[in-house]
Amino acid sequence: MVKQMAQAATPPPAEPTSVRLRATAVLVVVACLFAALFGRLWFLQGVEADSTAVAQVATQGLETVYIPAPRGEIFDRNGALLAGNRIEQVVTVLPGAEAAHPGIVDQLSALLGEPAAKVKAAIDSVRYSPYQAVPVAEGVSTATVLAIDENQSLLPGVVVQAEPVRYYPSGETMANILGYVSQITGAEYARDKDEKCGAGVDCYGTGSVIGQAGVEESLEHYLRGRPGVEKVQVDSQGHVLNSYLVSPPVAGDNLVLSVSLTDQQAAVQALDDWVVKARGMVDHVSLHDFRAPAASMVVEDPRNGQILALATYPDYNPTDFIGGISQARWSFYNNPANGYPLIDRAISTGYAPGSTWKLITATAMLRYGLRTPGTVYYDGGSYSIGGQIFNDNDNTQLGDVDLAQAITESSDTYFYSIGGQFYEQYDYGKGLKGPDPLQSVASQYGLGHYSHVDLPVEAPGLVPDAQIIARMHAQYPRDYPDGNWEPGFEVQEAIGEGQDLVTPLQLDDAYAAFANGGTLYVPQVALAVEAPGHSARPNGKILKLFYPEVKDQVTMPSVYDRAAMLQGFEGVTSASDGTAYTAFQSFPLAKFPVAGKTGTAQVDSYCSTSTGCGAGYLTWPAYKQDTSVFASFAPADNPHFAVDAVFEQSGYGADVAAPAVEQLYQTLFGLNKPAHKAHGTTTTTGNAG
Amino acid sequence: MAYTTLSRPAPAATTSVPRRPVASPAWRHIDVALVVATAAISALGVLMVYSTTRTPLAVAGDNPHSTMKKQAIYAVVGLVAFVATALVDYRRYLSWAPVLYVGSLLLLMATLVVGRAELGATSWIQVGSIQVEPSEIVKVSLVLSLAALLANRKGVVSGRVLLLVLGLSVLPFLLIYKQDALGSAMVLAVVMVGMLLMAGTRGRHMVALALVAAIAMGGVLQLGVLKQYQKDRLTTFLTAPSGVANSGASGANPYAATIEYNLDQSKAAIADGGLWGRGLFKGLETNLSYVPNQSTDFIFTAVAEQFGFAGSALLLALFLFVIWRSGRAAVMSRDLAGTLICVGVLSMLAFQAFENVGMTMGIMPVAGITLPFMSYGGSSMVVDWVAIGLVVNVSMRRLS
Repeated sequence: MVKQMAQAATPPPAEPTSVRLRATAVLVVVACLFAALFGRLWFLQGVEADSTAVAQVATQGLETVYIPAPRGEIFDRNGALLAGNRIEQVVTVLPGAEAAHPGIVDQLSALLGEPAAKVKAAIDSVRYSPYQAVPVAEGVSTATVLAIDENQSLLPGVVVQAEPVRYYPSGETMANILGYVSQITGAEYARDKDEKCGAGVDCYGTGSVIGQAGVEESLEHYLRGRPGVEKVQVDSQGHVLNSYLVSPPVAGDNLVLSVSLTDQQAAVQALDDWVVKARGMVDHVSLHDFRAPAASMVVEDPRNGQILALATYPDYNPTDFIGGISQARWSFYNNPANGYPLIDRAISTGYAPGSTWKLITATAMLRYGLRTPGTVYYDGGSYSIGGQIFNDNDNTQLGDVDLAQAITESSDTYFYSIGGQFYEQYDYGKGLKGPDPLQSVASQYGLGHYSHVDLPVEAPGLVPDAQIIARMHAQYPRDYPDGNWEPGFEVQEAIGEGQDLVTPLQLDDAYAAFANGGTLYVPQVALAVEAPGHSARPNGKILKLFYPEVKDQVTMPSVYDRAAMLQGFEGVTSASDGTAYTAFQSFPLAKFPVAGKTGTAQVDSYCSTSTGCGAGYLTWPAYKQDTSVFASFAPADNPHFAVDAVFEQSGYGADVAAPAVEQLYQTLFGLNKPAHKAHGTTTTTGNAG
Repeated sequence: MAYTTLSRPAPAATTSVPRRPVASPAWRHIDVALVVATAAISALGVLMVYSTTRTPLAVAGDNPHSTMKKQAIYAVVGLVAFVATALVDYRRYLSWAPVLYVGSLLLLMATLVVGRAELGATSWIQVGSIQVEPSEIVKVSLVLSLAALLANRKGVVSGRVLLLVLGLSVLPFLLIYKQDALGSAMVLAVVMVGMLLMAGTRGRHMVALALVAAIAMGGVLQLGVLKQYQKDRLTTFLTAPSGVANSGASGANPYAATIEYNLDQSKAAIADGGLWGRGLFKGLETNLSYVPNQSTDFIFTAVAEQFGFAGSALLLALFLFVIWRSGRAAVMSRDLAGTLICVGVLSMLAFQAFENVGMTMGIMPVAGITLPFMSYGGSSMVVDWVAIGLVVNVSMRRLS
């Protein structure tokens, strides 16, 4: 074989034509194959070139990265910083660094003192674009920053960046008004995409920070600013090749609130003090100490509806939520034993207002001419209608009372009978399917519907009438077994019991409306939007003012009639037989007259025997003690403040709510000057007792 | 030499016409167009290798020119090899054919041994700092061996010779197949068929050969001689749905998914070029390294994306031109051996170009065959230039 090959072949081709023919055949085959290539090439590049698949290629590798905008700062009405941005050192890991150097997880873990699994989870978080640095630890110490700088060889791709982080210098004090921010949740992101994003509103990114409660949520669109947009070119391995800034981030606008930090601090202090005091008092119904699990206070300027303080107890620290709330804190805030601090009692919880409701009944009575202020009514301790007997609280008999006395001494029978009169004149046999005069006046005072305060999660309250009861019965037959508007409903409503539900804010609005002569304002916490100024100073240009907004006009009785009511409310604090006389005994009423009304709202009927007392009665510990309520305004002749307080399970309004309000007035009128301190989370106001 | 001398009347010894130097006439008849076309393809290849490797290198912090420089060096080495190959009369090579054949076979076997030692089959041998691919070298040595064998038969291929040719071809085929270089093995088969056809094999022999091949292929597929991934490579182009969006994850076979992804990105890159292309260094798929193996087996997609249909068609036309000039050289050859050498090279280049480009467009199986003169890599570049050197060798000595 080898020999045969070794003989180099040199003779000419035997058949030249045959060679030509065969070569041509080979070339023809090749030409055909190449024709197929040309055809396929034309199909891919000519025919399919406009397909969506190709359009997809055009956007392949081009990623959008959002640069967070500094959030607007929030100030109180006096310029005190309530929510700011602290520049914190944030340890970040560049994209791809972990993949290239897996060792940095352990290095970082050791450096930060965090478990390696936590560090890895932070790096792998899907909340961030894979093309931007991912924060691993916020607010790290200078020592840590130096350690990272010095050990760059051990920590490739680990970069310390200065980033704005939200902080709340006033801590818990303002929590319910300010709310907090956190990273956008999946549901919020989806909702934004569906409803707002693109419709003239900037879209949120997956890692966006968004307001979650309080004004941080309700005024989010002023505060958020506009994130910067960066386009990033990424190769198939996720390497960032280059990037260009489409638009720089625009800082959010600053917000000035109507709230006064010092007033709020005083209100929080009054709540704290009087919750503690209430827990040291014995409930004469259940013979147990009052539980006083929750309370709230509202201070509003009756002249314009601006809220000066809106305090709720218990409260939470919004800083806990920054950078993600820990599981422990979240469990704490949602543990029933801790009274759900995330609920703002002042706006989100409806209470039976008790005798404070008599403002409405008295107004309705005078307007509809049921009685004159001078009409004397004999309070015999009980009132009966339709075979039902309604007793005065503690079965007291006040004897002959006129309107002012009935308010001052809180005669239940006087107002029961008004309810009975309204029922007989307007409801009985009238086939009325809607509000009667009592409910209409309540509605004018803003009760039973949203106040539209610029805060999220407001409760509308409830003022039942024939129509509402019928509807409730149809909807919840077990909770509302009787669908007819019975006389007892009207009688109970006349003293703020029964099904009435009023939020502390609504109650304060109503007293503010009476105080200013009948104008019901939309309560507001926002005063102005300002352009972002220098850090922590409200020196920006005013972009928007939130003017007072009139919600309704209460049709007031005549000046003479209103004066009688006012006399009754002033008597509550100043007359020796006034229900809040003791609470205001040491208050300079001559200088700052306080008009108010106590309320003691029964929540449950108590049964003292363990064998049970029948339907509707509860034994300890299921029994809920009375709600202590006080609503007021001052100075009575020229009101600047409408203040109310609601203490859950704290007994008489006169014993807890009224003295708590008195304590707050001390601060509002500057009677305890030394208590005014620099801004901070701790205050020591309250020398009233 | 004897042929031309004999056909020409002998000059009178007394004439005063000076004799020309012996080497001079051959160089005068060099096919410049063929060389220029091949050089143009090589130059474009260097540019394309640069366009596909510059960003990944830059990202990795390396010199973005480094791979391009290597490819340029390979092209220069190829040119030198071309000149060296063309310098020596091809009839000398025919006499060396047995040595070349046995030598390349030994290299192939050495690959197997070294590959075993390094765990996992590999088709490379490390020679100093250079990696050599014997499966590339064997292509040329087989062309020369078959040409020597068949030319000796004066255009008459008996059954015995046919079996001899088959035997000569099957040995390297199996050795290469052992290295998992299925594509290179297929090139050998095509070269053999092309040369047999040209050598005047009878029609019934060819039919019998085709039958045997068909039965063998069926057996290979059925008897599980091929590994699953080899089957996948061969069949993915038939089953993969066309379109960019279907990037992988077809079924539970990750290898098939990888191939499918490779194909999808390849087709996307080609389609992205459109009629006129995105322009040099402006191809998205190319710049962002979306096509796996783009600098080697899928280099055509870089041309297609950056220069579009116009540029790709021009490249294919250049290949066709090289093939045509090789065919022309085959026909004009002064002897059958030259004809066979040219057809062997022609078959090799045509099949590789068709299979490689067809693969990137999804009409041929993914077989790991380089695009001649274009794909990044020294062995194939040098061997392809040597092959062109043989063609030029034959064509410029057609009159000598």
